[in-house]
Amino acid sequence: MSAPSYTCGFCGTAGTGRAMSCPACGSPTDVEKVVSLSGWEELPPIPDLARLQVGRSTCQIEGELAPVADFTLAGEDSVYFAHHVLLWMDGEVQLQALTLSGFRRFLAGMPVVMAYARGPGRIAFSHDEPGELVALPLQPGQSVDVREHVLLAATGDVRYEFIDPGTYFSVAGSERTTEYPVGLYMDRFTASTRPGLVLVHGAGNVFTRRLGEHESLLIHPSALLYRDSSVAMHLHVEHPAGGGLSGWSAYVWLRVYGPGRVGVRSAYGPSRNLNPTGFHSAWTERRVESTTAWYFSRDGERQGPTSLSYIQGMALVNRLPADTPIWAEGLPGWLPVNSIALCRRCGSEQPTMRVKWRPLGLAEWIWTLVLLPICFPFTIIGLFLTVRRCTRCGAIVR
Amino acid sequence: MERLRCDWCESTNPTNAPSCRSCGAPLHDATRVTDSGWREAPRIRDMTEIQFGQSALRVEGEIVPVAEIALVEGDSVFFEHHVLLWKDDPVALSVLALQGGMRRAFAGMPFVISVAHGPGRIAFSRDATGELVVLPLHPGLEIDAREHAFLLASHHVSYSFVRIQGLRNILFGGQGMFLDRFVAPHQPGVLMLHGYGNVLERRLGPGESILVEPGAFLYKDAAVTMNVEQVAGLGVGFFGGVGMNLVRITGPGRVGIQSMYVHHNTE
Repeated sequence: MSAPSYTCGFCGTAGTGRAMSCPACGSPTDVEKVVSLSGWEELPPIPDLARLQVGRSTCQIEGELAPVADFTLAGEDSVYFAHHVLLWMDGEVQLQALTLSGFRRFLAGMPVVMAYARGPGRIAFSHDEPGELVALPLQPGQSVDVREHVLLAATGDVRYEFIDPGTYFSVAGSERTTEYPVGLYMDRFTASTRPGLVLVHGAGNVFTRRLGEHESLLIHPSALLYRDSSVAMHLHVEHPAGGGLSGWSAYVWLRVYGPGRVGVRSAYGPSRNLNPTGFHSAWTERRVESTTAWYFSRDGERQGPTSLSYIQGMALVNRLPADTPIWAEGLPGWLPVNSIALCRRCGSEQPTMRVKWRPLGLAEWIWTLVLLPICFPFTIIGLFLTVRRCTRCGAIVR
Repeated sequence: MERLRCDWCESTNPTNAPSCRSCGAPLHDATRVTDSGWREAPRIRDMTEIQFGQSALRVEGEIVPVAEIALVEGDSVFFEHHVLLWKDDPVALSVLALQGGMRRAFAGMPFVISVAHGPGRIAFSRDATGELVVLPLHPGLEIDAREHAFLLASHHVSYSFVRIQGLRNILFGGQGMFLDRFVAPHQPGVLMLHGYGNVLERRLGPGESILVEPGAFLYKDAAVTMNVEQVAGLGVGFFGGVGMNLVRITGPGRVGIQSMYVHHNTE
């Protein structure tokens, strides 16, 4: 009689289905996948005392409030971890430091040292926050990016590096600060020639979403827990109508693009009202009330309707050419996406054109005449600069 | 008459009881033991009733559990003032006089232990996700608990504190200078602790030892010893600011740990 086959709904690992939980990621085998109406998959909580198999070693998950990952390391098997998650260990386990080449990381307050535990023996880890443990089994060559400070442990074969998530903005205040809503770095884990396991701790509950090829989603930047390395992302800012009056003017989102999995956590600390000003990583902008339907052309086919920021974002993460032709009601014809921008004065997305700077309108003339005597040479240099102007009202657009 | 013995606290109960009257552990679920020999503290179900001297205590909620006690005339419980959630008007409060309290005041501990006298209802909770652990104390049993971890104890229990010996243990042990010691001198008493996250307990044989993160320690039998050790092999030259200290806990006796530890920088 052939063994019954079972494919884990969460991690896709094939098994016999005889155990109560998936041996690779710990998801219970006897529950249906729980999917919210909006398509988020609720991470099946790893049952208390479930065992995961990693090579010849096992890992048992204990407790349900702040779960413990208890590894029984077979001889020569190893795991690495940030030193502050160690809960207890046998005297037999050998600890050593895994030095990372990261002076910038040291300056950013991240651990430069990962501790490395070599078997045989038992060692257990936990994170000091209520939440869920997520086991991410990695097939050879597969890689996953994880938010900083949430790693619990990874098996010794998994390659570790850190990457720049490219998401930051400066915030005006009593002193100007730079915010990194996804962290200054993300940890990237890649399985080499053998399958590996990465355990991360998500505060609160963890939900995952499998995004299709061109699918996109806006999520709270602080909620991002992990993503497949194939997922691209950038910041997206939405300006609500009248928000400026309250001293707050923008929602800051993280826009993610498939294909791949995205994991979010439900507890991510207090959010502050931040008004991004000045420099920032590449982002897209939109006025919340803008409902213009845009169409774009991909591989010669008309796609849409969608928002302009989606098309701009796809171009930003190189999923579409920067000069993709787009069109909306009221435009004379198809225009390249990089010529359309949000005009603050019109309050809507307008075609722009690049022109040499010359004073235009009463306000710009007054400013020029005031500034001319004060910073004379700079005003002259300005005559050689190119600016983008809204084709409808003539305002300078960033 | 047939009786059921509780796996967690070993007291006997009627067979039809859903949970242990002394500690609240569900009686019909076997105690969960991990591969490495840790017993998980029983998950006390919502609205479980526990006998507390002549009074009845109810555990409410499962994420940040509340212990609500209906004190009868003549019963009293003591607690640290910061865990009090609410009380009935008639419940009288007083202060437990402690010997050597000034030393603790200098060490930054509140040396005021409050006592609530029945009759009336009073409820306690600690403002963190975790589990309540009920430890019935038999006469002669001595338990040491991490400071600030105890929620309440019945008036049969006597409270004192022991100073941790050794400068290294004080500085790097993560427990501060004192451990709370609970003894039931004549009559059985009940001690209730709150552990952050999940609580696990292990019984160590004579001479058996394990290394534990200092912030994870929750309670131990008085016979169990704790000594701080620096883990070798983690120095990495110029950036080697990570000197990791772990506590070596040596038997014989029980030791309890919490999974959401109080982390102290050990650099």
